[in-house]
Amino acid sequence: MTAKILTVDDSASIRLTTRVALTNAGYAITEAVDGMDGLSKMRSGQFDLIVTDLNMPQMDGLTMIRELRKLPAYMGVPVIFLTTESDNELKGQAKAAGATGWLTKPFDPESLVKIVKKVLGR
Amino acid sequence: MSFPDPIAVFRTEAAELLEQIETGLLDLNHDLANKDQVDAVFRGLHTLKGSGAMFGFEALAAFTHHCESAFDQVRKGMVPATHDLVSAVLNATDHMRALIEVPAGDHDASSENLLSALRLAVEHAGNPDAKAAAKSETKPDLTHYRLHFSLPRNAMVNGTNPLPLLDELRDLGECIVEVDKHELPALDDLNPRDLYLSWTVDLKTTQPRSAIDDVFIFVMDEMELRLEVMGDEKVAVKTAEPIPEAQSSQAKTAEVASAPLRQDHAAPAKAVSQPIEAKQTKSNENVRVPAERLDELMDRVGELVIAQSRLSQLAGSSGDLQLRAVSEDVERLSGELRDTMMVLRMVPVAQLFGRFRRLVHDLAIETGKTIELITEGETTEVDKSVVERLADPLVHLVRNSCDHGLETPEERRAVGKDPVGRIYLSARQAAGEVIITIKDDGRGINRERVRAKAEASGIIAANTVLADQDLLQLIFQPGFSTAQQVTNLSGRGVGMDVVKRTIDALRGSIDVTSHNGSGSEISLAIPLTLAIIDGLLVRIGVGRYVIPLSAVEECLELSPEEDMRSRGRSFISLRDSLVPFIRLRDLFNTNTTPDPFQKVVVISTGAERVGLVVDQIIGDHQTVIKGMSKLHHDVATFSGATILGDGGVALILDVGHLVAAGQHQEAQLRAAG
Amino acid sequence: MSSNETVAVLSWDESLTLRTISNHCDELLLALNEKSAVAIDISDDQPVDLTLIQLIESARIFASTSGKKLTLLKPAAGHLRDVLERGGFLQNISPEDSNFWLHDGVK
Repeated sequence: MTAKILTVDDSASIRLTTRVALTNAGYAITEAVDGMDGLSKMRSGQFDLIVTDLNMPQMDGLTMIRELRKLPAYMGVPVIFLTTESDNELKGQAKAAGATGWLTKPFDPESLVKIVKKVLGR
Repeated sequence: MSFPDPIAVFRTEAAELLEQIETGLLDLNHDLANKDQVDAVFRGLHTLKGSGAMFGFEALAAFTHHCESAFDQVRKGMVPATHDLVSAVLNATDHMRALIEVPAGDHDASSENLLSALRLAVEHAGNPDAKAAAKSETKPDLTHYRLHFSLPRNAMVNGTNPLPLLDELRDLGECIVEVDKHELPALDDLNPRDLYLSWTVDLKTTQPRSAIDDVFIFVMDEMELRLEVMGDEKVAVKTAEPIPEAQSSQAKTAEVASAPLRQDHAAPAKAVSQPIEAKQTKSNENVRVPAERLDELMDRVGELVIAQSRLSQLAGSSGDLQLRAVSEDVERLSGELRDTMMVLRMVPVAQLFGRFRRLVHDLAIETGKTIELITEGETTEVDKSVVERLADPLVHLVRNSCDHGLETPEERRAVGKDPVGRIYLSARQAAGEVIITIKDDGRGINRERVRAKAEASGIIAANTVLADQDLLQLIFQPGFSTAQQVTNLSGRGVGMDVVKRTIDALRGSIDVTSHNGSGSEISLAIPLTLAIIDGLLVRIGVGRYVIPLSAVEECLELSPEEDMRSRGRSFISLRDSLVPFIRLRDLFNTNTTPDPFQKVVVISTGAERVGLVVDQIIGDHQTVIKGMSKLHHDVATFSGATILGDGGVALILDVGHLVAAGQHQEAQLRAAG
Repeated sequence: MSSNETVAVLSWDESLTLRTISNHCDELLLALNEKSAVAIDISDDQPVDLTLIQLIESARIFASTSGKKLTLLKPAAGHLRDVLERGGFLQNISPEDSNFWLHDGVK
């Protein structure tokens, strides 16, 4: 079964990079442009994994992660956030909000796919 | 919403990656044993290759692949990092740029040259260390680990499933997994979504310890992990070899590894992540905006500021209180918008400093000197346009330091100095200015030679008495060069005068200090922002002019009596000190009758002051500087122009130039009198 | 309770994972409180995760301390068996555990 991934990022270029990489790896991708959009897409369909940026307009990534963890359908659904190596504090905050793992920007398609496979498991 | 051109996105990203790779290589060159830099360079190359392939830059991907492989060998300890290897890859980065810019060009020949240099470097690096090479041929040791781990209670709710983690451990080698259920409560106390289980894993693997860390990377900080090494078991072939060395290394491994993983993992990770951290801050979590758009926005803000000051004028002359209130609101908002805009335009000088690492590296090779570049205050922020315009002057200054300032290692040894010459590049903010300092620990400026040279080239008359600072400043005069021979680097006396011209244009100042034998220091003080200044609007004759407020010390009245008295003189007495002054009416040939009460605006640049006589002081004026056209480039008295609230144009006075002119006038009068 | 001597069979023919495990927890606790014996029938081909195994192991503790009998209707197979293996539940397995999960061994 094709795993469904929702990517949430206000940057069209990051969404593009992510979409290309994950589609090539055989995943079904849906995109959202910010936290609000992300949550509404999560409510209207079930995703197996969320890949999200943290800095976004409307609703930032941390808030979105906290909100999605309140949805019964998203308990236990892995959430990967995009961050920078320097943001250790932010990493902690995102983990506390309920994130599963992270990917350091800039990232290459290969490591994105690797991380996705890691958290989705076999 | 416009969709960005993926190729353009890739190019921008690739440029950043290349910069990162180069920085890593240069750092590595200083410290060849630095594993983190090896990793950083490898990661950069790896990412570049991957993204390149994804966006259709096949030649780049193929070429980069070879560099990546070389670094992969270094990373795995099969080949040590050498200066040759670093240089080979450094040269290759330039080629990668070419492959990104012109992917379709004919790059085969240069690709092949660079790659053969790289192969040679890898071979040479591999050979002298026969042991390392031999080691890589033998089968790696099999290590027997015993892990106990438990994850945080909420791990599963937050998306961490222990099963894939166990699967990953199984992928590392021969693996026996046993669950530990002792923390599990009875059903009436169970929170069914919490995780109570923990695991014991026996793992025999040839993979390094870091591979185990990688499995737990996302939960490392919150989990408990104990890791014991049960003793190395050599692969059958190797057990026959009775090497005492192996035993001692085995004991060592066990000793290090049996400490709790969290402790011996966390500490070095923290220490090494710092340099990377600092660099990453530069580019990350940013929204990338083309520079032109920022400039467009700046223009709009400028126009808004102008419209606002027009509104303020109208509201001020009208009795309508509501209009005034609105006008004040608009004034406040546009002020805030301006400030925000200013911040947007600020970029860290790290961008600027970054390129000097490469420059110094190249200069060191070219001059045969050993040079270390130490940068400081890279996070200091400066207006974007300042950074762009500072690049050239700084290149000249750094070159000058490398070329003339620093001695050869032999010379340095001879005078008891560290053979490694140091150049310090630092930036800091101080009171509305950013101070950029270039300091070297070289021989210092030879004042005798500066004087001799200046006299020889007619810059100063023989035996002119000069203050030390003035003498040192002579090096910035056009046509001045103390270099005994023209070198490739610092050139032919061009360069240093470019520095002065640029800094003047930026309304900045230069300060030089130098100590014989211990080096020199050149500080550039530049106003933080350029595009908008607070100015004092004045009238001279019928024309209006703006004097940058930051330079204004005070305003005085010049009574008709004083005016008469001071005719033919060029000084006014200002609290016991004589200040030269310039009648701008005369300078600009206004051909109008002076106002009965003229004003003197005293302006200063550092220690030097000059009074400017104007007809009227109109008031504060926030000014958007528009550059002068090329046609007027030679007009030194003005640094730009601005549009006024009523649509008129005012010229902005160039304070540095006027002060210099005033001082010159003073010097002439002194000489005459 | 009045129905103390009866046996309840819980037929769980649905996804047994984190998302829904709380419902199953409530159902199982209720059954164990009301009945003297509970048998669970778990489908071989529905998704299962560690929360289910935790739930059942926890229920076994509860049953043994409250004198109730808890069994699997059939030996673990399919996804359940797979999770038991991947989770390290079958390594050095005790006779009791083996009997419970796999229905082998004596007793």
